[in-house]
Amino acid sequence: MIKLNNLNFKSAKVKGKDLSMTTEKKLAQILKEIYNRAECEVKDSTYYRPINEHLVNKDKQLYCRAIAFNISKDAENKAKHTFEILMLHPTMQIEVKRPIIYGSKDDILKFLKDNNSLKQIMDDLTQMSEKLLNK
Amino acid sequence: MSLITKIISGTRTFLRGKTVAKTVTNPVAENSLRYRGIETAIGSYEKPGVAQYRVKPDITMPMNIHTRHYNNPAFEIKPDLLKVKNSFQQAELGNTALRLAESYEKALPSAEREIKEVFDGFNVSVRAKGANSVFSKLERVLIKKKKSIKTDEEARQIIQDAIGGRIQLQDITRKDIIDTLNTIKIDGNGLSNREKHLVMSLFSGRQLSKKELAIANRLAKPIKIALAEKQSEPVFRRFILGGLRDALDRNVTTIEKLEQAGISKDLIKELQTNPKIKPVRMTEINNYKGIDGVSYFSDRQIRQFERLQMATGERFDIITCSENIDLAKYGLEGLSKNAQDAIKPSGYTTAQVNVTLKDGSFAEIQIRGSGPFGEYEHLKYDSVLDKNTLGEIFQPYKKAVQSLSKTQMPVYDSYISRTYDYYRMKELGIQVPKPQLPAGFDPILSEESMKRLHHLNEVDQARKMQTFVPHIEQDAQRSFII
Repeated sequence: MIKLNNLNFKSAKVKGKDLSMTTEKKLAQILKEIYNRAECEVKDSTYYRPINEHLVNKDKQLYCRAIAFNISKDAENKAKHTFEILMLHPTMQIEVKRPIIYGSKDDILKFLKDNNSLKQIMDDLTQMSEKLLNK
Repeated sequence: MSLITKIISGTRTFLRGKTVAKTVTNPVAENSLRYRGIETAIGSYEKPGVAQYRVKPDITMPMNIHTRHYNNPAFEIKPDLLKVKNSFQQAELGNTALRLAESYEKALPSAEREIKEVFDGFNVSVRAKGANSVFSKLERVLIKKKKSIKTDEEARQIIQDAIGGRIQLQDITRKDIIDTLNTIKIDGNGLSNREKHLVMSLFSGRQLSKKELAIANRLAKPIKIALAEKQSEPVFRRFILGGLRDALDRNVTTIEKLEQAGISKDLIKELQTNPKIKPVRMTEINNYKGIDGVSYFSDRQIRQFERLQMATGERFDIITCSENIDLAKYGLEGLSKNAQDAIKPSGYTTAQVNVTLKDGSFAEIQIRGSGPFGEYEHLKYDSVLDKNTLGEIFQPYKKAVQSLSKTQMPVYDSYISRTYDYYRMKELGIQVPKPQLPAGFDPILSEESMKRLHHLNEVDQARKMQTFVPHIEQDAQRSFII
């Protein structure tokens, strides 16, 4: 009998497309990541580097190359922050930006945690995609 | 004309097989009443009611006289059928376009009053979107979005520029440049006398040494942005104040909330003390520029628009068109050179603000400088899209654009983009060499040629419009008697 214990056995991993994850699931995952980062990084009193998460679009229902989510501090008011969505046209020459929420750290976290936020963001993305399609 | 004379005339025309374009005083209304006799039954056995409507001296569009009097399309207009140029679908879309255009004409007087009130003191012109332009846009959008429409209201929602306003900004003067050089701070520091002199020399087109050019070019970009901001600041303030006024009037915000949101104090002060501020309901802002261009709205001004949204809780989209978009925030900064070269510069430089007027009409207000290129730059865009809006005079130009090869088109795009930048710099009081059409291109494609064709077309159209009345084309060869 040959024991295969303690062997650093590495099988070949075949990278395939993640077709199982829909746009909605990807967005839910991104919102979760943004929430986690916002909880740690966003400060009401001091400077922090803007939080950015993005995904390259593979959903044919959305007319865009990529989507980005940003949280940044208001330069005029340290205690306020903006959460916004940006969408990049397939030509990469046009960008549409839409602010989603403006408020304190708690306001941003509350929004990201809310179960209805994902649906609102999906609606926003659909509308922004329509705008890009018109260009 | 008596009935007998009509029959004789119509029979002669029918036998000769000529197309008759009948000029009437009220063509659409008359044709909806049905002709009797020879001059009747527009269309053919295969396409009853389908006709061409001559909307301008050189432009026709399809329509259906049998359903022209309806309030909505007679049937669902579908993109796949439009794509294959189905006559009935196109004719029904033409009817929708005609109805919408008529409603825009009716809304024009009050729209013009409202826009001119808001922008009192500015050089403003207002027009309603014409039927052929509406038709062209609807057809393009329905096919592109694979969308169908059943009602005129659905079509109306697609046309966001039913009313078009244009505000022409004043050019920057030499005094403006000097004032800017004296007051600007770059990296927290003002400019030294030598730096000011070098920048003035650069802007005046004077020769500089390599070292001097490097210094002047480093300083030029922030100064150009400052000049552009100075140029657009008056109209920008009018938009912002109008937006704030509108939000206050609709009780979606208060002065206290505006202060907390960081709206600048001088704007709030003017809001409280100036009774002449008229409300403006903005729905979208577009800020376009070319590859080395300078947009009309600066980043600082765009942030004020964003602040307006935050202050009012109302969201409208800010759309930037630029070859210099930061791709890093999308995770695309590592794009290979080949892929990045696929980005085609368009050069289109303008700011546009979409607004909703008091009567619910959609208006698009364009902000431009005095540069003439904006009047005819659309020729290239319209030619590529094969739009129905180009008259006879432009057909050779259109053919030349459509004949450009895949390798030639980016070169031509670059030339158009640099021409935009040239005129933009001129508005800002900056002298740069005028771009020349690259060697090997048909001379008709040059900017000078585009300008000449535009002028010839204006003169030609003005002459034709003196006697022209929009009417339905009648094709005697395809008519039949009822």
